[in-house]
Amino acid sequence: MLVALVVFLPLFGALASGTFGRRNRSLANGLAVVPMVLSAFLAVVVWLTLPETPIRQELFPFIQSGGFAVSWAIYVDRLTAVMFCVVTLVSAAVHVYAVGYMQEDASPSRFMAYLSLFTFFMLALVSADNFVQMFFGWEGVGLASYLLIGFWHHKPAANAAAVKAFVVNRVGDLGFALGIAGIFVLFGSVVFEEILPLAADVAEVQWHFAGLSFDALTVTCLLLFIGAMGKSAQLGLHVWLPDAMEGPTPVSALIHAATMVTAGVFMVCRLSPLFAEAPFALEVIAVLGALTAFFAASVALVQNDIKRIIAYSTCSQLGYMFFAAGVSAYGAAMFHLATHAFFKALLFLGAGSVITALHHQQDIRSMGGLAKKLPWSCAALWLGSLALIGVGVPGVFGLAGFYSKDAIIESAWAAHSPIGSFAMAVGLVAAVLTAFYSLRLLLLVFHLPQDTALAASVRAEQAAAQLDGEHSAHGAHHHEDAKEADASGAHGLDSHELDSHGSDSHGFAGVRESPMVMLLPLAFLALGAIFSGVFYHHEFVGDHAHEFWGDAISLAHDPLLEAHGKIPFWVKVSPLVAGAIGIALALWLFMRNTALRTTLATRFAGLHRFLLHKWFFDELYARLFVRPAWRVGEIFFHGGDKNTIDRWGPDGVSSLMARSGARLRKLQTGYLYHYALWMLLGLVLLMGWILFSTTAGAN
Amino acid sequence: MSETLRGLYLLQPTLFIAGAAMLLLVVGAFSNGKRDLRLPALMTLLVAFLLQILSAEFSTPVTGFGGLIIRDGLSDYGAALLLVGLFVSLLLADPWFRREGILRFEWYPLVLLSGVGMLLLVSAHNFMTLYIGLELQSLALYVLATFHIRDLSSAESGVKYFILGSLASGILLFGISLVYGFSGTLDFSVLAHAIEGQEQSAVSGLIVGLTLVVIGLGFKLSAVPFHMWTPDVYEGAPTPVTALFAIVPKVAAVIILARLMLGEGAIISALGVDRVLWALSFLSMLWGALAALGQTQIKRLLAYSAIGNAGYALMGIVAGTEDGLAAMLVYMTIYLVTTAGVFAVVLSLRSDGQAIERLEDLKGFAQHHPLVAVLLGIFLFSLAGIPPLAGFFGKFYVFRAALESGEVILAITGALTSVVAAFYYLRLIRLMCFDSGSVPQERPIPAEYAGIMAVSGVLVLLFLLAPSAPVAFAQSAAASLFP
Amino acid sequence: MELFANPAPILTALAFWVLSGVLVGSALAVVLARAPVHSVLFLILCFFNAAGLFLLLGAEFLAMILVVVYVGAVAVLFLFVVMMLDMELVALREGFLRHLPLGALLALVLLAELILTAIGWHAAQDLRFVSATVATAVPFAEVGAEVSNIKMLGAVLYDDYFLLFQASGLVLLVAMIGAIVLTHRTRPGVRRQEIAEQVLRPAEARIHANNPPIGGGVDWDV
Repeated sequence: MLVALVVFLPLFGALASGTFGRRNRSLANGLAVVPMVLSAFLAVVVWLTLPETPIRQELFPFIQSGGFAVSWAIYVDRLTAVMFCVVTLVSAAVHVYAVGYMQEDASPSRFMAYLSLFTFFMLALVSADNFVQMFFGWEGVGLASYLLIGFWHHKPAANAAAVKAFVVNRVGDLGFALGIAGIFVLFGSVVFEEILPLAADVAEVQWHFAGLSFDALTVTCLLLFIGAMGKSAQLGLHVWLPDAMEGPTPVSALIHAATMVTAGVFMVCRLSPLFAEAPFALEVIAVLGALTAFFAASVALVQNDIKRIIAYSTCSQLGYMFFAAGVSAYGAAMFHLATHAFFKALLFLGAGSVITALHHQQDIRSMGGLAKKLPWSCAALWLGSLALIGVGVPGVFGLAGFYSKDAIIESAWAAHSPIGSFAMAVGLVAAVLTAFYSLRLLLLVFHLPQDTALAASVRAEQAAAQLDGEHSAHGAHHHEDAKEADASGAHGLDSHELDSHGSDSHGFAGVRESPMVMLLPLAFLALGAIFSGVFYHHEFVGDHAHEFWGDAISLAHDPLLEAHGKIPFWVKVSPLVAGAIGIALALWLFMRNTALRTTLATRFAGLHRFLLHKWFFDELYARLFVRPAWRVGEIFFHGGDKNTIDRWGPDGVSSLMARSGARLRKLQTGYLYHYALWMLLGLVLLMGWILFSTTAGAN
Repeated sequence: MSETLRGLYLLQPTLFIAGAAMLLLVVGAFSNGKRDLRLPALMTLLVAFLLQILSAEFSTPVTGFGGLIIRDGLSDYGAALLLVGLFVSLLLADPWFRREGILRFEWYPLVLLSGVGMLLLVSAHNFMTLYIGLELQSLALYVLATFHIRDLSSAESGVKYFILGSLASGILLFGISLVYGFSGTLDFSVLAHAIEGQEQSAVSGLIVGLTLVVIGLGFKLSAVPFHMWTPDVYEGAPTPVTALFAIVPKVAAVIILARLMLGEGAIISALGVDRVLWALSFLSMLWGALAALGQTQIKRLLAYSAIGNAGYALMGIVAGTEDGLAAMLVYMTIYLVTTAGVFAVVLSLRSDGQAIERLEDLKGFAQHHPLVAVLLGIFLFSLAGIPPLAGFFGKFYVFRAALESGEVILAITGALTSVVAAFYYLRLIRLMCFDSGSVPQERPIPAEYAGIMAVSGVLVLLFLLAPSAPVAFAQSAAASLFP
Repeated sequence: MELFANPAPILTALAFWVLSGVLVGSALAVVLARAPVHSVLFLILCFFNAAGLFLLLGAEFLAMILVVVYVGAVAVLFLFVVMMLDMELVALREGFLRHLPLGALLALVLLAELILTAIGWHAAQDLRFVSATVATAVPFAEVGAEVSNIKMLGAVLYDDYFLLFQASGLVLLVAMIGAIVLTHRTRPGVRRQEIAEQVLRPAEARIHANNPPIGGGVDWDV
């Protein structure tokens, strides 16, 4: 009952707020926030009272077709309970925050309803006891994400971003769906409890295709991982995440930092017994995760949009989680997932607070010296960043990221494999970069004085981009291929502003700190960012891991637990040192030797451009997939569809149908005796036919 | 227990309604029509529903009155469906009649008595019960079609319906007398038993008689080519009566056909008359889809939709299997729910104090009533059989059952005609959403309509979440014919 | 009556053929007659002949009912209605010839089909036997021959076919409601006798004691 309430309260909130909150702002807020807070409270109760054996509550049967049986059920073990807490707590904080953030928006009930709906889908995803329900939640969060990214649907950029997120996720979802099909073929079931214990039995199964034979489990796991890549924005399918920042900031905090994007990590952990039997798939995951961590961190170095920087940081941290999972340290991955949820949501909400204070200005080049004006936001961003960098004193106390990132680096080392060493090295480099871009953001926004000349030029650029955006939105449709490239590539540079009449003309004179309703969630998340690491690292990755996790994840090959107590000191402090290097570098470049910055930028202009353009992924995809697909589509559209199929198929058939329809209509004369005649005619013919056919049949 | 007592026990919901109808008639007459009978009538149906459910005996068929009636899963399912349909029809009718100012108290007893006829029909186990049930139902419906006596088109539709219906009844009765003449019995199972192993020449009279019976029932079901009355009557009758026609009587007709086709009283299939059903199904699907193209009246369009749907339901029967029967039951259930929603929308369409009946006037409807337009869109999509709405599943089950029993041509025809039918449903949606129009719609929508729309909408939308529950019900109902 | 109760076989056969011949002939005449009044009169002839056939079967009660109800009530009502309606005979006949070929063709085919069916009559003997033995409740078998026609009908109607008898009553009730619904109109200004109101009216309201002045009138405002 309790667990069902946790899941369904947000759904209730979504329906209630969306239905009854249309006229009344406070009703809309209240109807969404209260059930959400209640759900969060119950989730904590579930967490505290979680029994040894998993709770499984069947709601009602879903599909029964031959040997394929699926029910709606809520399955809660430790893994789900972790996700329950993370999702509901962050979601509750974001709901409260959104009350303040969306104060001036025209449709609060729609926003609140989407937000609650998302939470429901996310909870359905994490509490699934089978693949089909998980897929339901998976698609549901995708839908909610689409709706929320495109929430400001009058912004062309927001629409483009929403579509992009949806399409890119579709690629991942195809993999996921195929993976589920593979699971069903392999096991004859899609229920986790039935599948996971059997993983070892099917490890040897081979599939033959096109004369080659493939390890069935590896193929399936890789397909599932493709699904995870899409949702969790891993290298290759990451392109949607930065663009998703077009959505309102609470959305970015909830969906694109704390919860939905971690669904992929969660899925890999949930299926850890499966992945444990597919070592090659794990290696792929580890390498891709490490690369993502490095790639995203490098891009974040030079971005100018405050939210995009944090978005790339999210991408990078997700990479950490994946390579932890890739070296079988699922506990570490989940640990980082949980701590990251808190400090990244804190970062986003802090950034959102800055953005609202500046009337939706997001470009950090036009900010500066805001520490005095926005003390609380500043504190929140500092705390979040320090937690992200992982600051702490070994053995005494540390912020959340200190424990979780440490655990990941140590696991990578303890894996004692080439992949592990590679991941560790890349992870450390990424940690340096992380510290650097975090400090850069903080310094530029809060501490360095505003560069008025630069700010003015940025604003001019934005105004031009806006004009351009509007033009392309109204432009002719046959330029859409160009527009696509434009939306994904060139648009990436400049931030697209909702509010053109905002801060453009006046400076920071009217800047005021956000209201209490926005600061309270910040304080709450800050608590999480400070304490979640120190309180729970023994359970997630330390001495109590075995009794903590139970059978929820596979701990059999966890390198950290195997190497317990034998990790050298240099490994333990290496993330800390990396962070320190990054911080020092940033302080030096931005406080001391500012000239060197410009020199570096001009000296390595190519690299700078490379990073600024996000390794040219969008351009590459546009050239590689979008435009060829467009061209092929054109050929099929004009040649195939219009001139062949439409002409002979639908158009021809439909005109035939219309003509015969008209003829039939003429029979409907309205005269009674015509109708009676028809009936008798039908009778005589049918009777003749039946007499003839039965007699003929008898002979 | 004596046969009569058992029969009375088995038929208690039906008898309760009959008694209540007469009571309502007396109350209405003595209060000079001033007393509002809606609540008592609704309560009657509710109580009857509960009685039906509580006395339901799904597993073992029981006959009563010496085999005149039967209670089994099929009759219980049918009765429950009918009672829900009648309930909804009463709810739908009231606000419309009141706004038009033509509500008279006789409406309630007439609807209830037609319901008694339908309930007799679904539990008929003898041709006489079949005939009397059918007549009781039809006679009440003839009157209802003419209920708006000052309206010429209502009178015209009533007369047409009455005369053609009498012709159909005559055909049916002639068929029954042939059956009796050639076999000496009217009891379904006795007849089924008697024709076992008989020579072809011995049963030719039965074949003709049964063909006539099927044709008579096909008329009630508005199956092509005995459907000609449908568009005219649907258009002419007052809209709530049209809703009643569309929602309820078809259920009774298909269920009695199913009983004659399958199980222990399987006379139709034993004699090879299922070919007639095949033809009716085929023609209905085709005609319903094609003739609906280019209609300009909402109610005429719905009439053709009803014709087409009769074809799909018949397909489930023609399949001749347990699965087919279950599919047909699910199909009828979904059809009932969806149609109720559609009519709730249609009945709430008004402008300048006039009911809207032309498709033209729906132009731009989505701008005035976005939520209602979305709901109507959902219902139409469901009728068109577009996944993941309920209507898709209904068609899917029927097609699957037909394919599994080798009725490939029917299944293909069904799929193709669904495509054609989708065209006119979608055209309606286009009119509503994308054409701009100037006819303002009246607000507010009566609570009854809003409620029915909401419930139907939720059911249609959420069917895919738990399709196995209604399917399981239908399957257990169907299984009771195959002990 | 004696003649019908125990007639010679040849007489029975003769009566059957005459009665059914006239029946079919007059039925045709109902459809073909030019004047509607004639049609109704032929219909009455039909009823009489059918009643005769019932008598041949030994069903006197049914025969009498047919005469009393159908001839005495229904057909006479028809006659009145037909005579009161002002119908244009020419308009009714219009199109008769035009539709005759198709109608005749249909009728012929139908006839052929029915004849084909009728050929199987004797073959179905066996079938009738089986169904008679299978039937669990055969009402006629239990009743002795000496029981009168009415008694037997009563036994069958009120016992075995109790349900259908009552349901038929409902059919008639619906027909009655229908007739009222379709024709009854509440006209304004019609004076009705309200018996209850009359009875309940107190004496004071009924009697007015007036003492009109000479030359003045009574105030009449009741």
